[in-house]
Amino acid sequence: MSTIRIDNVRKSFGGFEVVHGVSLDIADGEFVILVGPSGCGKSTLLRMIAGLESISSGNVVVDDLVINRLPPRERDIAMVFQSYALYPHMTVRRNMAFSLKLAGAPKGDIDRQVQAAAEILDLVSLLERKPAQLSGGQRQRVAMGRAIVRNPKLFLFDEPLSNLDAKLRVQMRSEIKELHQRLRTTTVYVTHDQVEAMTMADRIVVMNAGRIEQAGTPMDLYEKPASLFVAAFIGSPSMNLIHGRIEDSAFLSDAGARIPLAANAPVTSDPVVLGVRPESLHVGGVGPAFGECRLRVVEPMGSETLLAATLLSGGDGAHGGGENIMILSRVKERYAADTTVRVGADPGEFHFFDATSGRRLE
Amino acid sequence: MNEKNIFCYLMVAPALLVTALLGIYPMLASMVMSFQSYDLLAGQRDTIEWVGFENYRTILADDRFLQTISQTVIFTILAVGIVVSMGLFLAQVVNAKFRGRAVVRTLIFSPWFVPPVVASAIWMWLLQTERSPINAVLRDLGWTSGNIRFLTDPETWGPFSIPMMSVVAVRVWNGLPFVIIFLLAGLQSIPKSLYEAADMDGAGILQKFRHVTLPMLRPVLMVLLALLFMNGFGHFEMNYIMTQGGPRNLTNVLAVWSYQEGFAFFRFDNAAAASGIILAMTSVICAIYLRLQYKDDLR
Repeated sequence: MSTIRIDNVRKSFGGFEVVHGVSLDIADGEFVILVGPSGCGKSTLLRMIAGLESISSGNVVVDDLVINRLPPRERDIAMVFQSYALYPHMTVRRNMAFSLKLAGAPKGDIDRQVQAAAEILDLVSLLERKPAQLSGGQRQRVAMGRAIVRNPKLFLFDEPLSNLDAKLRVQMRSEIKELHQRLRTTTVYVTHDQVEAMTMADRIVVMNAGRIEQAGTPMDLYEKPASLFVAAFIGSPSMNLIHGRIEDSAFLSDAGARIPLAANAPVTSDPVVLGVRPESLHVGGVGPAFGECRLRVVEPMGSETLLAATLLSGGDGAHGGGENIMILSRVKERYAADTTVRVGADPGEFHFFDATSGRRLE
Repeated sequence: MNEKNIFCYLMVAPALLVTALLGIYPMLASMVMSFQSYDLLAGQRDTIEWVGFENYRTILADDRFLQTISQTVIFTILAVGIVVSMGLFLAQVVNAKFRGRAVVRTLIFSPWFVPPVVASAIWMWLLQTERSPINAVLRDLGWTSGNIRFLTDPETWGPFSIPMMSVVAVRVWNGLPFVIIFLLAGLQSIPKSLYEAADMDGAGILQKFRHVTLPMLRPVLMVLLALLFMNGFGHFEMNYIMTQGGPRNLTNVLAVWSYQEGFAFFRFDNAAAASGIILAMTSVICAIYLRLQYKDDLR
């Protein structure tokens, strides 16, 4: 159980800076997920916490101790790798016992701890097998077993689910979350999958190009994305973003569609981006008018239907538009492609961003 | 047989033919000869005289031959042991990233560019008692008072002698690059994440070597050891060129003994019997290797 303070940490590879002064406080027992596209620096940051990557400047502090210069083995941190990195020549038991054995723990303790971890992760029947004889999901669990067996201060996960198929990924996601709820060990988890981030995290840290874009609870990020990047990254399907400006309490898109706004919409003469989530758009008569749309593609998914549509005109009926938008309908209805529908939306659910800086406008 | 199969056979045919003609046929002919009386000095005979195991009995009754067998084993164990230990260390050095790696790599691999015969000639000069630059350096440093007779000192310590150590050193020097490249290929196939996992598990350098590198290199090491032992038991050129087996048979090995028996004493039957013993020794190594590999496959 530990707190981590990441204080203005930078990382350069041969003069090329990839992490630009990141600061983050992680509370005791918190499950923090670093999420972002490939190359955003999230894995590098994780590896700096682990000690597998040196820190160019700044500090990583665990429980008030600066660990910058400590080798990984002195940090008391366990890590689950994307490739699992199980020792192929060792049985599951030996894989899990390895760290305890190196630490010189008595054999009785090792056996007891391995058994306890194996029971938590349902690995008891697999203890004498080698990694090659295990399925992907089982290997994943062994990798976690190896991490929890020594009861470390901190768990690090580096994209642990990306080698699993979709069904297993969903299952392991809840297993990891359950494990965290049970052990309450401070956890830092890296993924590029925003669904993983949304479903598992106490707090999500969205990274982009070596900087933190926003850190907050999943619902914070979903409801109040601080930037265009976060708006586009969080949520699936991603938010519709329409460029335009605000004029006379209406949004005028670059293509000429005019969408009425609520009274509390920001007032600015600068170019803005209107963000509206696909699930905030409703086909038919519900809510104030967003506009007329032509449905291009209909993707029924059972409980919901994803519609790719083109905005024909704004809510006030004036012609214009032409923007492509996505609508997520949770109403059980059969939609037909190439039909024109009215789309409603609550202007209170609109997001506005400065088109130049990308920052959120309130 | 379909077209693809015919093509495959055609592709391996030249290699098979060469192996059969230059490898398998002489080996079989030599084995057959080891059961015949074949003394060139005795003149030509019309009939082949079969003598059963007589040739083997003759050479095994020869103390000089028995000494040669044990020396062949000692030479091989020493050379293989040293070359593999140094190879393991240097392969890690070559594998590491550091400034000047290219230079170090070139230096380490350079003995490979020297054919064994040339290497032997160079080292004969370097180890020549009166003119050896090594002796000169040792004397200048004040470490020795007289010249060390690297290739001719007949003094022994059990089975060991200075000429034996000198020849072993040259064999190691010449064989090292091959071993390093072999092991380097093995090292590079070990995923980096295993070392990182070991780092996180708390392993130091030696523990990583013991618990990650060695087990992961096991298949490569097994092939390498089998090759080195088989080559080692049949090694000829360096021992022959540098010392002809001397002084007092101290650096003699089976292949050199067999050659001398055939081409110096014209006893091809005894030479063939000595070759038969080399074949038996390499077969043992081969059998051990196959058995270990079979066990690994079962696991």
